[in-house]
Amino acid sequence: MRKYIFKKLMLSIVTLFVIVLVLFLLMELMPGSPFNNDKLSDEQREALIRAYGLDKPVMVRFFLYLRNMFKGDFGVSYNLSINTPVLTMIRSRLPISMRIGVSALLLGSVIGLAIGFLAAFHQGKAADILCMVVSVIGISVPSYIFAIALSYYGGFRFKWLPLLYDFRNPVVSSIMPVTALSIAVMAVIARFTRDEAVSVMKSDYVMFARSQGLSDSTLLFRYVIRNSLMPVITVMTMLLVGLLTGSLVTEQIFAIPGIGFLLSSAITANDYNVVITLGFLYAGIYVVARLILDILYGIIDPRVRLGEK
Amino acid sequence: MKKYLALLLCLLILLLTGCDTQGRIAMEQDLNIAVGSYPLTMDAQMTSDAGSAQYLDPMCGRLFRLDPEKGYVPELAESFELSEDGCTYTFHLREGIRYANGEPIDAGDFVDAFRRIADPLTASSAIYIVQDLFRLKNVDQVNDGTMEPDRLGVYEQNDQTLVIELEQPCPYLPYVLAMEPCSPYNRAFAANCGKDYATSPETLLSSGPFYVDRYEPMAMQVHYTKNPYYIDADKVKLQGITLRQVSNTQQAIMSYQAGESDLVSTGGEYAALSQNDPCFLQASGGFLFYIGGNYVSCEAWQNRNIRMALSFALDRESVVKDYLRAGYKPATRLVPTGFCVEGNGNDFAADPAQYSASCAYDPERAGECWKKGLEELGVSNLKLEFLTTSTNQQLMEILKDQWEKTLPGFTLDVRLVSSAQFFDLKNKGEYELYLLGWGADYPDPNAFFSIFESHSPENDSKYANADFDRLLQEASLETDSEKRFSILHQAEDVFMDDLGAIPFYVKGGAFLISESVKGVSPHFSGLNLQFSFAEKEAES
Repeated sequence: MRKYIFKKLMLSIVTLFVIVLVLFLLMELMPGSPFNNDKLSDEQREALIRAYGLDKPVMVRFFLYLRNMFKGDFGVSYNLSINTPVLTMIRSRLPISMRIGVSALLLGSVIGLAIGFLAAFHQGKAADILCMVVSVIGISVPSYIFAIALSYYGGFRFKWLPLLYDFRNPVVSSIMPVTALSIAVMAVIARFTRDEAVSVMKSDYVMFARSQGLSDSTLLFRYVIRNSLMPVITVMTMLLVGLLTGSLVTEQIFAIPGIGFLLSSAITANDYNVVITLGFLYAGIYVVARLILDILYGIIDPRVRLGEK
Repeated sequence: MKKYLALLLCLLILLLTGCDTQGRIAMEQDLNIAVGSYPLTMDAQMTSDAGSAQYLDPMCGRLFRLDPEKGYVPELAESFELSEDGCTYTFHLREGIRYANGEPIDAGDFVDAFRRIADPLTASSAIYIVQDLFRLKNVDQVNDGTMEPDRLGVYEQNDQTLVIELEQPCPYLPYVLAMEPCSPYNRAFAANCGKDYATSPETLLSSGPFYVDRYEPMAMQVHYTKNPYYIDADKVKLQGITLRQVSNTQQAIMSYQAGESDLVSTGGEYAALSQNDPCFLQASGGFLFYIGGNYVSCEAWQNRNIRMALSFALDRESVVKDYLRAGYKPATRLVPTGFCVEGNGNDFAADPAQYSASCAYDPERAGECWKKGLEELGVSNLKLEFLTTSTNQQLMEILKDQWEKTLPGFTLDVRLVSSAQFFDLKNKGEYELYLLGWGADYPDPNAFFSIFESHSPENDSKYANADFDRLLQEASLETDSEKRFSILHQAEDVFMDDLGAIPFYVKGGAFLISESVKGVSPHFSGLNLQFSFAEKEAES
């Protein structure tokens, strides 16, 4: 088992190293420089490039960057937030994206699980069809459509909730973005839960339990939910990663100072350090989530690690 | 299972409320403003963009402050004297001026601000202010590291007296000194903050009407509170201001209509939707968009008849009316109308049609000039590449249609690139025609003329006209205001006759301002509003 974990860990570290290298080279290939202010003359621009050490060869900069990265220094922003350490920028935004993302995941999961089990227990009936129609809509319609609809009706027309995110009122102003983001989660979880619950209900041990005269509620709580939850948790983990990294459009609609907006701005502005750090962070979150899942699979199902030998 | 569900719900509520530590501040008392951009920095001496300037404006005290009626009024300065040669300014500071932490502001703090901008180690993009907008004595040598910063042409005679020495006269200097980078810099405070200077409310030091009590880098929401130490605190009526970045204009307008924002910046099609609102304000602009061409490598652009033909074939009115809409105006001269007032109170560009000999929409004359131009070039048809950013795709389609319909044998090849790529290609001179916007830093014709001076670093197209250069040089040395403006008029005549570039449209501002807000005035650029001395009536 230790050997298995060690192997997965090494693979993750190599993956992250390759990602940073590729990001670095890609940024090098991007046209333009971070200093696109048309008020500056060529000489003034070149002076800025020299001052930030961007005139050095790319590989020299790459290893310098790696060395600083190990010291916890991810560089400063060149133009999005001039001279601010990239970590400071991420530190102020990541918690907001995380809070909204995790809230959306929890809200969506609770409703999704309820809908999924409801549909499974009424398989083929009106409730099942209705639940599945709702979930298909939830999956196929992008979250920003819900965000626009919510902000129009909830914020503008009926004035129930604030239209824009406001630090003076963070709880109430988060309700609409959380709801908009939770709909897709709800739909995915509902579909997945229903399918899992239906297959569990058709399994021999549930049929046997039912034949022994166990009540529906005992069956649901003791066997069906417990056995169909494991695969659902796997899906939830990957959904969480998506939500943590922020939703650009939803953030823009509700003016949320999240991490999605930071990444898109950094790419268009050629703010190298911000793009590389965020790319590294996103990749890191994915790699860690996959690593945890791989290790859990290895523990739960020995065939996974034995099969790799 | 119920236990788990209850636990899950508790967690959800905890997450939602977990970060609610700021508490709810009375939004009704603040002036709530939604703008399209966020501050790139709150470090005044590092800033060079209009977006950051509007965030810095409430917290930066300066020698002069812009005034909608008088042009500029003294703020931290009491008075000034100008030497006979127009190159040495002596400023006397007001007594009792202080930072928001109570510490006094002295002349040395202004000296430190200019030295910081010029210091090559600072790598400030505000360097163009002291190098290009006005020429601070010894700035080149200090900036290239061959001279110590203390040799820069700025020093304190005593705590109350500041002297600024220029390499050549700059009649509009007070306007430039009203820019945010020219605000005082407290060296001891900054040293104390170290690398974190200007990255949080604790590391920001205000010298203006408000101080910042909520800010984080790349903030989408900045909160200001009235500065009790501000010299003119009695004139400041607001207790607080919230500036919020809302990049989606439709959402911004909805937040205004829902009463969440008191003042929003709109533009284009959205502004057209709200222009019937009684609270709609359209500000004349100081942001000129022009079509330029490469004088070095594009033979067709070097031909005056071809430039004239392109200008006559351009229906600016219809572009503005049908596409750009509210907040924009057609540009038919180098200086926008309503942008600059001469010493005698007249608008420098009172008549927008003054240069109809080169900027009117006239398909017939376009055809004549085109024919002559092609003959001079010895060709029967012409293909030119137009470099611009991908955001201008629709505009380019209109332009292509207008030109190709009016000018027989003309093909316009539009090359759409990202803005970073655009600046890269433009700086390398890899283009034939391009569309460029230039925002004026000060309300003087020179703000637009100087970019076409042959030696100017901003003269990308390498336009060179000896008469134009000579007139600008004469104007810069002329200390009599009336004579100076007369020379500047001649300079514009020369440029427009030659049509060094084709003025296209002017971008101004379009705003919605709540009825409860009074005392807001547009900045001369038209892009921002000045609101530090505004008033907001309590809602009944």
